[in-house]
Amino acid sequence: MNQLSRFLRRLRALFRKEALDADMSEEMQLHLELQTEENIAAGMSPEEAHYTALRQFGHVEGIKEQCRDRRGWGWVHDLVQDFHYGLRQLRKAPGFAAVAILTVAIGIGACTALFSIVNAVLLRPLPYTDSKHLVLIYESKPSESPRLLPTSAGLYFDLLAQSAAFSDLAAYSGHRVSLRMGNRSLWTTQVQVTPNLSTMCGMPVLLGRSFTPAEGQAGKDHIAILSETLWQTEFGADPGVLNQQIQLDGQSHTIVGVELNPANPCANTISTPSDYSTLRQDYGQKNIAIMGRLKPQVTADQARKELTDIARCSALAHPEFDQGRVASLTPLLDTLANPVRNRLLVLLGAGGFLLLISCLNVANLLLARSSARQTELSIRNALGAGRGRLIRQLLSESLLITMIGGSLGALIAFASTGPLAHITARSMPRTHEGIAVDGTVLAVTGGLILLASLVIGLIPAYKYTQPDAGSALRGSGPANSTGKKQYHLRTVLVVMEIALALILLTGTGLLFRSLRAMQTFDQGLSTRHVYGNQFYLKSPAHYGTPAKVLDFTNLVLARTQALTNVASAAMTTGLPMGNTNAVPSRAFSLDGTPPVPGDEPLMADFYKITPQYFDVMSIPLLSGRTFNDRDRSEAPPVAIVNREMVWQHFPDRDPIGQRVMTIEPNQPGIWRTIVGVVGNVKPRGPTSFTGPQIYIPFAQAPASHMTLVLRTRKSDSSITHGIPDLIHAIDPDINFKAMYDYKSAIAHSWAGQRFNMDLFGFFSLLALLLAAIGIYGVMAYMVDQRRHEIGIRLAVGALPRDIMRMILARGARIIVFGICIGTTVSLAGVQLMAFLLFQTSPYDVITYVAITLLLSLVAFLACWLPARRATKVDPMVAIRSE
Amino acid sequence: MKKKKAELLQGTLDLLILKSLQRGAIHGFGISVAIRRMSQEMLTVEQGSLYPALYRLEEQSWIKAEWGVSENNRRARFYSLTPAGRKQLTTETANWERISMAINLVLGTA
Repeated sequence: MNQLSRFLRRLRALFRKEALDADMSEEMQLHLELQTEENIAAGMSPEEAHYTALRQFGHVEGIKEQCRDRRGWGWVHDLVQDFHYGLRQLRKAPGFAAVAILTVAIGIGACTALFSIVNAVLLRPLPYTDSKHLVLIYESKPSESPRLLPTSAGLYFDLLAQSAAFSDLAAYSGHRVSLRMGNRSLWTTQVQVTPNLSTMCGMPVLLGRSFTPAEGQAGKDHIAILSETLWQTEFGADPGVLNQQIQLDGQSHTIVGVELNPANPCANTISTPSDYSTLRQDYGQKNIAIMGRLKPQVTADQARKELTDIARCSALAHPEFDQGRVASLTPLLDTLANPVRNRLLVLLGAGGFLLLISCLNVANLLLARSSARQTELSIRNALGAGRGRLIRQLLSESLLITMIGGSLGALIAFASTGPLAHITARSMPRTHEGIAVDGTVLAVTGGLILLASLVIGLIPAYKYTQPDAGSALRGSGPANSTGKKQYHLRTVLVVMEIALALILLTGTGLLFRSLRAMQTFDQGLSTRHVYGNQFYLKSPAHYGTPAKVLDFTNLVLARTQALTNVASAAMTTGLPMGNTNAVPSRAFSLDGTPPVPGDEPLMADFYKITPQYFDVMSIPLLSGRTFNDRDRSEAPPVAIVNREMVWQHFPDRDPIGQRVMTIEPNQPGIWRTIVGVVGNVKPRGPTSFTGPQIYIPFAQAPASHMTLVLRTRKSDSSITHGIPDLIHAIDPDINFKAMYDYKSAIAHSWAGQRFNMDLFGFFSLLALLLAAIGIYGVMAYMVDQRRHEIGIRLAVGALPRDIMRMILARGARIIVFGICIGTTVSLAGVQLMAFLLFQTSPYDVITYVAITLLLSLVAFLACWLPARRATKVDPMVAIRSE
Repeated sequence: MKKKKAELLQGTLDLLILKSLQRGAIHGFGISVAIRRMSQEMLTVEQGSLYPALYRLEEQSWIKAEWGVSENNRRARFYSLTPAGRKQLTTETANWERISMAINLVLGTA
């Protein structure tokens, strides 16, 4: 109790300083009066009595100080006092204050914004219950690639039976389906999940309900759950979708709910329940992903060991399916975060550089002001403030600047989280969940502010509290050495700024080259003047037979070709680089090499096209022929393959005339004769893997879901506005929206690169600006310091040209130093970001030269302005003034 | 008669202050007068060290202070012993007697 009341008393003392001080003064005043009276009574005169009383009492103010210190909290009061003083200083110099605060705001704002992205993607737990314990179980062939491969249903059931590490396990697999509801139709991914998946993850149900365990059985599984993204984008978040009927590949399902997709929260998917019981013993088909929840006490490593054991046992039990793969598991968050982790760290580094530059700039500004304060600080020192106290005061003032500027920057960053989430949603996982400003982000922002204040404050503080009061009190004149020392220090800071700016600019330059390389990369086709749109023939009455579908497509193509501005038009079932997974893959096998059971089936991208397709897309024909009108359903089945197929499977013989069998789901395979070879096409963007590609004539296997592509003669898109009308004239029921420009549609495949470059570019521009301001400040200061000397030189006959050259030479030295250091560090460290570059060498000479020129130009301009001012110095004025 | 001034250790100053408050509440000046009187003019408290000591004792909750009116109608801060302070006075007095007995023994056996 004693301790508590003491603490409370101390706490009260903190807030009632004035009142307590007044009490103390009054008390001691009374004491002095009483003592004076006693002295008068003893016979002294009033004046003598008063002075004697004072002497008897002692040093009043000193005693008051002692008593005040007893209360504790001295440092708090000092801090408040320093803040008040700092605020007054800032108000007296609004120009300096504005520049300093803005500079800090830029640095802190950039870092905060970036860190909030990092937090949202890498650090924040997934929006499920206890998501740390959720793991993804997969297989991989480490010798070939680190990719995560799907596993088999057999392993899933083995784990269910034998594993002790998991409290629950769920399996899922996905494939493309056509979804039809009413008159809407679209392609989406159907995910067959074990009914416990969403309850295991503990995710919130947005509408309706989750699957019940019983619904995995065949017969009870004609229900579906939409993913949140699908519900929002395609159904407008309409709560009325509940209990509606939809068709998936023709099979009817009832919608019972809307949920997040646990494996990939932003995916457009629709889930149907399945208990995979038919695949219980299937170890061959590798199309299942397994998610598990670890028991509370089990670590990932323990579970991984157990998993490896179980997988090995089953591999031994079923050697015919052993393909040399290993099973492993990873926490779910890592599977989303790992692909972008390094990229984000590089971007965060860029932000850190920008923050460093802004801190150096403000330190420079403070140094410029501190020369005026040298006198004041020396007086404080002489009056008794220790060096520590002085440093504390200067640090408080710099803390004030960083707190104001940092708060401003942080506020801007917080306000921009919305737009940021929007911009990054395409290139970054999880940002669609929103970028929240939570405790971690705030703590990091606060830490950055403190760090910045240390960097900014310590440099001038150290310099200006040297315990040498004498020379400083005598004042600083042009001949004073402190002026020169300060110039040297500021020069060092500016050299560092230039080096950092150069590093950032180099990064931007390399990323820019990389982006251009991606955009101009030969994808195997031409996107000029190409337009496309997909649609679906829904009505079985009208399009139930292949012949009816063909009639329709032929009519559409004929009419489209007839338009004057259309060079050629075609139908296809898949468009490369459209949406991801827009092109389905199918298994195939080759004549003469029957597939070995247990081996992975050969897969190829699979297209059904009308004859004009290669012409529309400008895909070159390398040998043989393209399809023509004679390749109809009655004619012998044919196929065209790409060059990669030839390299992989027909390296030493002519593929023309060979046979390949394509395997479609729910249908027997068809042997087709290869009649032509075309060039490779990148299926999913410049960095995607080009595998075998097979084309078959649309006429021989008409599909009801297709894409119309056409190429116009001129770059005039107006002709495409007429296409929907053309289609609706043939069949008004078809849902055909306007055609899109293919070129812009594929731009999203380099959205990530674009974002990197934009960010780096923005930062490096800011850095360049700050560095320019920095060097301008130092040069202006130097001119100011040397005004006297310049005046003398001009007076004794130097030409303005000579003065200009002298100043510029100084500036050039700084710039050259900065560039050298910057280039060296860039060359040393550029490997750290080499993984971001596409077909661009990290040592690309053109980039380095261009960046050096740009930086030199800007920096030189920043030097030239003060140099010009120097030449305008009036010699008489300069010599006379101090 | 020549007054002998003795230097007081801090602990003993606390003891003297506590003792002087035994009979009732006094203000700061009154305490210094009381100590002088009780020691028959042999001890004069350096008034400068009085107030820091008073605040220290108050912080340790051995004395408490209240504003009141002094004998000549002026506002003054009156100090009085708390129960803990009374206990402390007894303890300190006992300590002092023990120590001074020990010192006497040492000096006696020269």
